[in-house]
Amino acid sequence: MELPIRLSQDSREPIYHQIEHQLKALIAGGHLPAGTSLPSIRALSKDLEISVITIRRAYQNLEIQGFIKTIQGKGTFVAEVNESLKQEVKVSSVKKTIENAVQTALNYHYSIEQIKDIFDQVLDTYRDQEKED
Amino acid sequence: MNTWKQAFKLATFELKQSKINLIFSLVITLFLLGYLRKSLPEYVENGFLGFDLFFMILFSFATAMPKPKAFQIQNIQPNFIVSPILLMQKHLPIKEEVLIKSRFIIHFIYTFPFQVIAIVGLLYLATFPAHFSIDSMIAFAILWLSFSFYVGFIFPASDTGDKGFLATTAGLFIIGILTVGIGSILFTLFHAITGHGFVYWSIIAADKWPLFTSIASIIAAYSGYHFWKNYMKRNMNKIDYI
Amino acid sequence: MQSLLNITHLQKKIDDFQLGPINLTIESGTITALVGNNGSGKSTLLKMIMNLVKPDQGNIKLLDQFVHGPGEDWKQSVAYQPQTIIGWDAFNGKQLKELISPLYPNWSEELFENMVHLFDIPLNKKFSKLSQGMQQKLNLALTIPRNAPLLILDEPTSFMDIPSKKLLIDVLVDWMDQGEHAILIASHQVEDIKKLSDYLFVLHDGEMIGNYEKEALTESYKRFWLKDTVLPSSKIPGEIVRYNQQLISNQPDVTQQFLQEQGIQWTDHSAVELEEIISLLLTPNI
Repeated sequence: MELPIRLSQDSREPIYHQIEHQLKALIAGGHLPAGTSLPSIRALSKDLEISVITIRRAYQNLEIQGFIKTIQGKGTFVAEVNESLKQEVKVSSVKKTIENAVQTALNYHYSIEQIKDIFDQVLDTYRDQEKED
Repeated sequence: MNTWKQAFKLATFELKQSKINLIFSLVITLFLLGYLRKSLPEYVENGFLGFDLFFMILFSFATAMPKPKAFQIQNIQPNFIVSPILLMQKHLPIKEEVLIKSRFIIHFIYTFPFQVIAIVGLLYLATFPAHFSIDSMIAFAILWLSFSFYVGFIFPASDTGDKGFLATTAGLFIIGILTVGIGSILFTLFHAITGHGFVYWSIIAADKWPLFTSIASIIAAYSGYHFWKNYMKRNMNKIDYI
Repeated sequence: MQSLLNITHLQKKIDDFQLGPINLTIESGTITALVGNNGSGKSTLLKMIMNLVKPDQGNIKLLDQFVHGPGEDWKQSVAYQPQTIIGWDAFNGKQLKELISPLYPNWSEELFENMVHLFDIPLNKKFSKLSQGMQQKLNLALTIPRNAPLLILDEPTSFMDIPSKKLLIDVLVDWMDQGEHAILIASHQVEDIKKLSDYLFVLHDGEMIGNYEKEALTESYKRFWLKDTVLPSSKIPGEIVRYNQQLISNQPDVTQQFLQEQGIQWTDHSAVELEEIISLLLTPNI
């Protein structure tokens, strides 16, 4: 199975971190329900064109945090993740995306107030759309 | 498992592809046997170099000549000559001992049975001195069948390869010329000094000292085999197969 | 993880060509790509591992046995696919399989049959009558199923078509998952290197440039897009190469600090493609 993971070599975030976060998001978002079999480290290494050393690191971290489990001789599977942990991941994932946007704005030398305005504008368009629906 | 058994198994792989070639070997044997049988009385009487030469070629390598081209030593680089089969087998987990023995077995099968046919045919058909006893005949046969071991085995030994100028086409040509040249000089000298050729003296030796001739020949064959075996081992550990 | 292959201070001189000194360790579970320019000594190195070429100095150990020593057991632990196949011409695939398969205790008939089917290999045709691409396929089908702990491939796909190359990568990935295996592969194919390798062992004209973990290598190179075209004429710390407004560095932190100190502005920095990094490593004199 190919996982919808998109890595950015340009990002400051290390690759293993990117893999870890995206897998967490896929699990928390319900795209990968508990029990789903994950690709082997070697197979994911091929798909993502990343060494097994890096993939193993990401898998190990996910296993420690209880997102996945490895059954000897059978493979790696998505673990049962409790709701609060899922929520935590979701929130942190949203936060992270917003942080990226804020970082971009700061790079353009906008002030916090200006960023807030832009954010409100975006929210307003979504609010309008919701009303139309 | 016994290394000879393994070597034999390895050799069959190659020999299975050589059936027609072995028939050619038989043809060569019969052809040379016909010539030698006819010329023997005249040779014993007058002696001539050609007879010695053909005789020795038959009892060293003549019947190995029709080997399929793919199994003969070849220039795989301009200055590197080796048996392609040996090179292929060196990539595989085959013990050196087994590899060497299988080269001997292949040469043996290409030569020994035909040499037995030739020597028996000769003793049966040709006119030997009237007093040539059974003992002498056996000694004569042992002498020439042994010859194949200490001289003929130079062929399987050369399968392990050679490098440098002497392995180039020009180098091989020079070796050929030198062998023929020096060989002819030695033959002629031997002939001039002793008044007769090698085969003649071998008949005399077998006639006069059959037991000694047989024992000496067997010792020579045994040492010859070990000499070439050691040569192959040394050579394989020296040559860069590149 | 067990150290499978251990090469230390290996040196060899052939005519004017000097190879090494080379140090390389390969562990089970990893794939190492042997990358180098033409004539860099890749095949010679692989042949030394196979004891086909004798080193002048240094040691090679395979599973703790010296390959240039008197022991010969190590040979069952390695499956080697040479770049040029010599001595197979007179035989067909079936005969070759009969010769090769009994020599390896872990030979997988199933994998062999799968590969024959996958690549559509005719087993009854003489090797000399096969196309070069088909010869490579048969060669691989007779090498990978040996299931030896170390698989050595010398340019396995140079004559193969694009779909077959992809299939081979999948076969190798599967094979790696089937047990304690490692691969050492010499290849000029970027796909092979990107999709298979964990480590890149780089050779240039016989000299060992280094053995790099793939991400460590890609992360250590950065391309800076500079605003000013007027740069100091001397080399900038970390600089590997510069073209107009681009600067490639293999010590991005040092370079960045220097640019900041000098007040040189850059609009962006980005990663450098693996292919370009390899080119840079193999052309040290630009």
